[in-house]
Amino acid sequence: MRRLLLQPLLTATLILIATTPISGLVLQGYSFSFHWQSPLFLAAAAFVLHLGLILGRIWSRNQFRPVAALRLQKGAWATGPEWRRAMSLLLPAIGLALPFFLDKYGLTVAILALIYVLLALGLNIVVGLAGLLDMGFVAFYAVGAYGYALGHHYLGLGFWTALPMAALLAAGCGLLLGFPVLRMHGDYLAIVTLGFGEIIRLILNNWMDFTGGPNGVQVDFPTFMGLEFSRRAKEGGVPIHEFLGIAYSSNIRNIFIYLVLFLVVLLVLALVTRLKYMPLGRTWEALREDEIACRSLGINHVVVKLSAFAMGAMIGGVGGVFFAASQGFVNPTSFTFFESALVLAIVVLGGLGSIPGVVIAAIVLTILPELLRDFSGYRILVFGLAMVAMMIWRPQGLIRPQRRIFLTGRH
Amino acid sequence: MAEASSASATAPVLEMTKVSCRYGPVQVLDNVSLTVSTGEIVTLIGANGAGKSTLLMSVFGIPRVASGSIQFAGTDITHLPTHHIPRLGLAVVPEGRRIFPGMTVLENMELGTMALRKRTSVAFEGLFELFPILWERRQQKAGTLSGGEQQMLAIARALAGQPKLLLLDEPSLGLAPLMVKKIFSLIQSIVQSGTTVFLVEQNANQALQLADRGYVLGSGRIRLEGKGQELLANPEVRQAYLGKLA
Ligand SMILES: Nc1ncnc2c1ncn2[C@@H]1O[C@H](COP(=O)(O)OP(=O)(O)OP(=O)(O)O)[C@@H](O)[C@H]1O
Ligand SMILES: [Mg+2]
Repeated sequence: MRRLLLQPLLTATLILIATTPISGLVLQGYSFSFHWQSPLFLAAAAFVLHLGLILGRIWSRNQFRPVAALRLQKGAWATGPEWRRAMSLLLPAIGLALPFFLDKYGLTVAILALIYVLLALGLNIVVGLAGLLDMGFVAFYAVGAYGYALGHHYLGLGFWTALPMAALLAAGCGLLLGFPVLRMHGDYLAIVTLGFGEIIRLILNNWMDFTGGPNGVQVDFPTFMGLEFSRRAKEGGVPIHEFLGIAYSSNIRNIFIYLVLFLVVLLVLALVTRLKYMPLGRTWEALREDEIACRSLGINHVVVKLSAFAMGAMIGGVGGVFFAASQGFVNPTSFTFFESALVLAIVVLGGLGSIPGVVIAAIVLTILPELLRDFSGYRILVFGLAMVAMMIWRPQGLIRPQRRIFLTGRH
Repeated sequence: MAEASSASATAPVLEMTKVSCRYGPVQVLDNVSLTVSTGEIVTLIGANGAGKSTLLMSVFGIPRVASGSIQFAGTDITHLPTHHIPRLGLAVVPEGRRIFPGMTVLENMELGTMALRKRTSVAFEGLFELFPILWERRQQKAGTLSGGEQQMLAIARALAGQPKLLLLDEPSLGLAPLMVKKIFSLIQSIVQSGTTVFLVEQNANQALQLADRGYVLGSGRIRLEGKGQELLANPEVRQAYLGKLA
């Protein structure tokens, strides 16, 4: 119990020490002034985050324990080599530092890459783990993006309210799609989901009165604790650069979006990695392998399937919200079948079910087309060739899905 | 009532009454009635396509019966959703084993308990004693096990939920005689440890020797029933299923 609070407290203190000089001291003309709110807020956030992670770990550990049953040594789970643990600390650090070194264009690409990571992680649940071939995943992406855009337009919702609500809306749409296709598999499922994706796009395109049709909808940029990211704030608002006492730069907004998105990606990564080893994730995989066996073992296949659809859709919806937030504008042309195909390609290339593989594939497949801009006309061709090559030489995907393994013997 | 008062019969754990099943227009089971009592090994034999697997799975609602009723330990399970049935203490090893090939042996066994919210510790300890080979292979993908090992895994997975009644569909399918012998002796120890077994078999000779009672299914109807040894001696059975002349 003491360790439970000690670790997060330590984290918070470190954050406080590290960030106070950066965010606490504000230069005004020739004198300093001290703002204690922002470092304290950061420290509190770090505390909550760390505590949440620890509680989550305890919770998931209590879920299911064959370990005790097998008289395995404590801590006998395969923990992976040293370099791997080092990477798991290093990579998030690099990711958090990255936006400060990127120019405007680089930031846009990085945000897009992270959005595709989210989409791919979402689809990976549906296709990779649960084995349900969904060709219309873009529908949930669109629901998330339009959920935020229209929520702002009609209800005046801000980014932070829209984020959870659009995610829930997308999850609801996942259920909506899930019910009619419960009995379908393989090619039939693919066709129906493809149709679903097109239906959503066509609704968005043709319901002029509500969605603005092809003209799209303007999206309000996000704010952070009431601070705005524009050069001049709206009535009564405070722009963040004034609050922080730094010069205005149009990058600030994108850096902010990037950072929030990055944290969300980390959170989703933690969630899906956990899920894979928890009963729900296991039953997804079991259902993919043999539905009749699952049912005869007492697994409710309806709940399991719907939860895969809903969970995947929710993550896709979150991706959509960030897309809308970063673009400042949405219209139906962003949500064509090509997007579904791209995300599916990412999941397949990454290695169905492999989380690191999917993340790497998402990043590569967003950055590659940017690097190939010089070949503009041949881009899709090169892209296709790369995919064919992959399927020939690494049909399992970039990284083969791994199974967690016990290390000790019986004693 | 009459049964309960008679001294020899224990309480029926599974009771199928006038069960009929059809796939579309094809009637596969026609007014089948049978009972399995606690502590027994009951076997069901019959030719290919007689409807044995259909009968076994109809207990789990795959397919649903067209008419008739199925009782398990006093509960009417005829219309119960499939995934509720194992929670009552019923387990099945379906035809063709249906293990999860991409998962490890241990993960397969875990899935046997997952939905039942049972503590695994007790169940697994005993299972690995019964099937030492599974402990050796615990990290191996189930799809790479030999046929006999896969059969043992399927049985272990079903037993992991500590059922009162175990339904087995052709556990000897595709196994060498030595392995068949081993599986049958395992079934015997399962019954001795307190689980009732209902066994569907092609291997009529071995099944009837093992069983307390047996039923013979032909074209969807119960043709004969009786004690295992009686059926073994029955000229009709000998001719039809044991390939011997009376
Ligand atoms: N899903 C299905 N759809 C249509 N017909 C089926 C289905 N399953 C089984 N049948 C038919 O029902 C009949 C009985 O099949 P069943 O599998 O119960 O036979 P069985 O006695 O188990 O045979 P075997 O010993 O070969 O396993 C067969 O004629 C079969 O073709
Ligand atoms: Mg059969």
